[in-house]
Amino acid sequence: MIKLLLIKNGYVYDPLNEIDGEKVDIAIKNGKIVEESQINPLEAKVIDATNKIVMPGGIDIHTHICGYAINAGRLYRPEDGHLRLEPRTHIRRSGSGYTVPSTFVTGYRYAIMGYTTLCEPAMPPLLARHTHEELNDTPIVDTAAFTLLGNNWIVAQYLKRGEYERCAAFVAWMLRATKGYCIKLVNPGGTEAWAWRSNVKDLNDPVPYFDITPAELIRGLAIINEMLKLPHSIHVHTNQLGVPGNFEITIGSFDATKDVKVSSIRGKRKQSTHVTHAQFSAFGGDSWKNFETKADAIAKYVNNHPYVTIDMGQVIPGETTTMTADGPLEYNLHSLNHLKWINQGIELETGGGLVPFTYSRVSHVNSIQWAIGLEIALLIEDPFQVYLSTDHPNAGRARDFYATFSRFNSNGFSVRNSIFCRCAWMKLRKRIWHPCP
Amino acid sequence: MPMRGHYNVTGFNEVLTWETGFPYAVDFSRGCPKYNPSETSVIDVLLREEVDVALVIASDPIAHFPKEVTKRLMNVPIVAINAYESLTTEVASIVIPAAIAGIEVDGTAYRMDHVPIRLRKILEPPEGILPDREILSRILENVRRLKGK
Repeated sequence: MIKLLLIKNGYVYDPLNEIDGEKVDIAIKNGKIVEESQINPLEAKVIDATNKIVMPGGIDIHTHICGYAINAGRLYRPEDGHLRLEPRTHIRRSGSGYTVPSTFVTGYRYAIMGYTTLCEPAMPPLLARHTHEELNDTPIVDTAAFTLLGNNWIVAQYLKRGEYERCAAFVAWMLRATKGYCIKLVNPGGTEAWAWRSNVKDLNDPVPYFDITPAELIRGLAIINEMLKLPHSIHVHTNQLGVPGNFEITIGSFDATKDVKVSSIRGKRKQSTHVTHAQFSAFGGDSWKNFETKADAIAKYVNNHPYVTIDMGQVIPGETTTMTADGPLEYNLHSLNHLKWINQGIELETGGGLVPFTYSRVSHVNSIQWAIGLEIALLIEDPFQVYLSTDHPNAGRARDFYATFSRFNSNGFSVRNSIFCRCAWMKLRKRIWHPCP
Repeated sequence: MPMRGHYNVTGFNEVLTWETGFPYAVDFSRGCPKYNPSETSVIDVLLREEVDVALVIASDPIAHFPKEVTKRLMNVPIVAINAYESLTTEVASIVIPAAIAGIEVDGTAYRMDHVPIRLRKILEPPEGILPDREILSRILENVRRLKGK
């Protein structure tokens, strides 16, 4: 670590200290920001940030960067690796990947965008070792991984019997054994039901054999989260995700934890429930024909209930690879586009799947999805209740964050999603910017 | 649940996939990973006689490759790192015996269904016998020193 650092002449953004784009010099001593007078500018390493923004490092709280799912994506999509080959340089290692980049490339791309912390949101306990091995190979950024417990047999049995103390002990052991950062529920009950060739229809539809409902699972794990006084709340990927009319289930999932009392050790946390990639959970209508946005309903609920936070799951048009521990969802996607897919059950814990997918600008469904993400972000009043995420790579590649707000509206060339057109576009653009002499 | 082929083949595939994006047959000579199994696999480069030296770790190509490829392989110096004797260690120019993972050293191995298994150490390895990761990092260290990097 550099002992003394001085960042000069940058436009500083720091929402916590209400610094909004002012030109301030920042002095850092032994890794901590200090008064400028405390360091000697002659001894310090000086970075000239003229015309640049200086801000706290970005945190992506939901990005599939490491672990079984994304590695399976890399493995079964070598064509994706060929879309972007990254050569080695004197400071970087080589790699590849467009929607499913290799670990080193992931770290570099996020660092270039100003991110310093990434959270892998789906770590099956049995595959935790693999996830952490990959996280160790992801350079520059800090990382955390969330342990999947929403479809765990042992958790389901304890909760059904009402043995909260034992369940809490099990969850605590599980988080310690898997080095997990928080409790993650993906289609609670539904992924287990998928192993019985069905899915849960709503929050009160019992899981086969276990006879426990998704609402009980969400509420139970939220209570256990507070019993253990964990630093972060549960993360919920709601039931019937990506299905028209699912916004009622999302609001029901919020309601399931309404009376759970928050108790975190640091005492700063107000919220008890986080719903991930809320865009996919804010669908109205009852079929793709009358599909509509219900972002207003979700935002209204969030505005009135401070115990809830969400992240956007913003759609970015173009090709991507969807991956989630929600087996039935991936099966539905595969039934839509008939592209190659993986479906896996992971012993007594969870399951998952992968399907390549293209968000099309001419599809009304995808266009409305794009709008839902933005609506959610804009309609929620407290900025600390909504996070920017693309659920990388499910709704879009994280490296295209900057394009989140621009792609759909650009009046430029209508670039289709084929690689050939993309190459042609690159050539054309070069010609516009660098005309031949 | 068994493991694949020679030993930790799935583990090798997993690691190469997350580091380069491709599971095997990766050619690094162009500065970025190139994957084209009819062109860059070890069989192809041996048949084109582009190989100067072969470093064989925990596998036995002499016993399993096609006869023609085996002949070409035996024409180049082989460095074999293996815990056990095999046909490859018989013909290798240099054999570096490694400690046995799961008995003499700890580590991780992947089952054929991609589940990582923690391996524990139960015995001390014979004197002077190192784990394969230690052997490889020492080789790398020396190569870096010799190349002045």
